Amino acid sequence: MKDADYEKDFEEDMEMEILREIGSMGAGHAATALSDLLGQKISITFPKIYVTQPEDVPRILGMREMQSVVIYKTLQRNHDCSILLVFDREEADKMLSIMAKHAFGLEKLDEEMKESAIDELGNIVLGSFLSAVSNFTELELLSTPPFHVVDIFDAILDIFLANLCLQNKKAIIFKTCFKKEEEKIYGAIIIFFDEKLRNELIRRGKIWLENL
Amino acid sequence: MCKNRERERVRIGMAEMLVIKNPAIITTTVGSCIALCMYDPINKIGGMVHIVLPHKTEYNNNGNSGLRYADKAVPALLSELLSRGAKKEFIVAKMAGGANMFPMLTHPILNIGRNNAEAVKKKLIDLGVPLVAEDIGGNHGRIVEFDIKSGIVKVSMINRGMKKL
Repeated sequence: MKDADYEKDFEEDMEMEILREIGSMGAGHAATALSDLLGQKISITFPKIYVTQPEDVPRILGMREMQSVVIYKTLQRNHDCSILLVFDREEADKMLSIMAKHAFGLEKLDEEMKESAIDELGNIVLGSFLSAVSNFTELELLSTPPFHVVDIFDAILDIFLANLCLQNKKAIIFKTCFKKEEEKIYGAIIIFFDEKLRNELIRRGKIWLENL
Repeated sequence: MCKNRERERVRIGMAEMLVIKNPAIITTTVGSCIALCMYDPINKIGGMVHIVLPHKTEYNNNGNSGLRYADKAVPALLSELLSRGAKKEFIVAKMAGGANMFPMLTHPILNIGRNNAEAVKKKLIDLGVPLVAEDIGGNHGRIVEFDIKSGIVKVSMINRGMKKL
């Protein structure tokens, strides 16, 4: 194995460690905020994390032609970073049902309430994730309000993947499990970092690993 | 419907291409991307390519699949059809996609759908392949199914029904 290969492997291993740490911080913040909103204990775990080429994202998530809900936030000013929370329609409906019952005291939400509940969910989960990145890098990160789209999964995703192809970037996927008592809801968080933010994460990560 | 079930249904992903001579259905899903289908109705050979971006530039020239780009993918599909026995004079094209899935946002990347469609049309003109049908633009995703036996392209959308090209 060449030195360059060792260096690449080391950097990839380190990136995974950093992502696990950020994931853990983000999940903790998001779970606390969701639990507060719902008055119910919610936990969030990431059974799998991937760093991958754009074309492989649909295959890894396997949602393809499913009707899906994608909530989207992006960073403003100095960084080009997008972050997505995705559910297939069935899993999104399960989450909305929990929110209806515990946040609004209703059996079912009307369409307008569903729209705002989806955005609120995205705001909490994605906002917590971005806070974790901000804490880790000690950079001030200002994000847009959340937007969401309901459509065929691969069709929603292709604009983000096209953007990745333009900039030769990789996608980071956290397969995500929300748990309330015995009920589990599956989704994913997908992050597209720009090179500047990714390099800063790695630089901070090296310092963080040295101090472990 | 039953007939379709008997035929092979093959899915292609982003930046992938498939040319088939046998009765089969090629399918893909597009938002801002373009599903370009070419077909020789006499020799019953057809193919589809899933195009992601208009052009390869110095910024995205990292050696990855040229089929991502309209300027490479359109001639590649034509060339593959010809090498499999299709005749240039019979070949026609149909295309679908080129949507803007986030109409509420203003980022320049969101013009990619329109730019993709324009780049594909320009390349088809350059190559002398007539575009006989299209379903382009809008703010919705499309499931595209190309039936090689009939040459029909079926475009399905959530809550918007289905079109045949």
